Amino acid sequence: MQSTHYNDNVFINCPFDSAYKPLFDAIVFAVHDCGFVARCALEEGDASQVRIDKIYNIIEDCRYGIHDISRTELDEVSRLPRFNMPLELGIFLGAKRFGVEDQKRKKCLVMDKEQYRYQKFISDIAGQDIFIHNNSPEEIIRVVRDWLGTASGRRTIPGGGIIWRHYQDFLNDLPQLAQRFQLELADLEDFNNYIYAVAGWLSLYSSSES
Amino acid sequence: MAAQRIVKYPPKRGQLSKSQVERAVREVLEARGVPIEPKRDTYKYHLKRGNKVIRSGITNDLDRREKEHQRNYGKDVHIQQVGNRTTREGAREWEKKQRRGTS
Repeated sequence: MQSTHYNDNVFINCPFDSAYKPLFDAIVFAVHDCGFVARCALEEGDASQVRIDKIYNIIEDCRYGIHDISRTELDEVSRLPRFNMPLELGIFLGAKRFGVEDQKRKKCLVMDKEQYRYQKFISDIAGQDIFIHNNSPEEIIRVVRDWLGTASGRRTIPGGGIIWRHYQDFLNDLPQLAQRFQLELADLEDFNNYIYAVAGWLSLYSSSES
Repeated sequence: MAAQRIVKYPPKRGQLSKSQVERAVREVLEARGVPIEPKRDTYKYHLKRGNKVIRSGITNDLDRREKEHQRNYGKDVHIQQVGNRTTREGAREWEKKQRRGTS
């Protein structure tokens, strides 16, 4: 069943490894500071549900999608490429192309770490604008912010520099928040706890700026 | 301009509740000397059938509230927002006055 917050939901399709975590956390923060809600496969704890079904449900719930295809290199152990991100990008584009009603209004941002690199491994998406983040959290916040502003047409979205400053303040407060939640910082890094901390912090912090 | 936006919470799935988070954030920000204004996140509304006001109420989510009312009152009712968003306390005062018929 489609969520009532379809127009606010942003599907995040990116790696979930520790190397990518600084970028992932920055994306989630930027999405919420722009007034949207971050959704991703990490939110579902129901082990009985097949992973691809969870992803279908979340994609159906989201008008917007942020796809980072920068980590498609060979795995160090298996020497095989990682196909999850391109697959989920394909599902999102398929939902937009073949879905009905609201699904056709989907919009997506595709990011990579270097300009034109994607043409060597996923050339079928040539023609779409691909945005470059250079593996920098500050840059990725600016890219996400600018794209959400343009894609949604909302005029209440703060500038990229302001969101970056908010994010620095939030990171400084995070250890004390964990202490007050009686959680280890690692527990607060669980996606569902993290987005609650982000939303709570932003809702009060932004009121202090009014 | 940024003050106009409402930060939205995702559906609750983790260990933390909204009130628990906001209490902790308030303590941390206040310890840092960050002034916190009451949030203006509450809508006042009239529930109407055609042009007739059936009742008045307050909510922080007009779409959800309208759907709830439509389950109780039928599909032909709709919500009309009254004024701007205000604080929870301000909205409660307005709601009380509406019930007393003084506003």
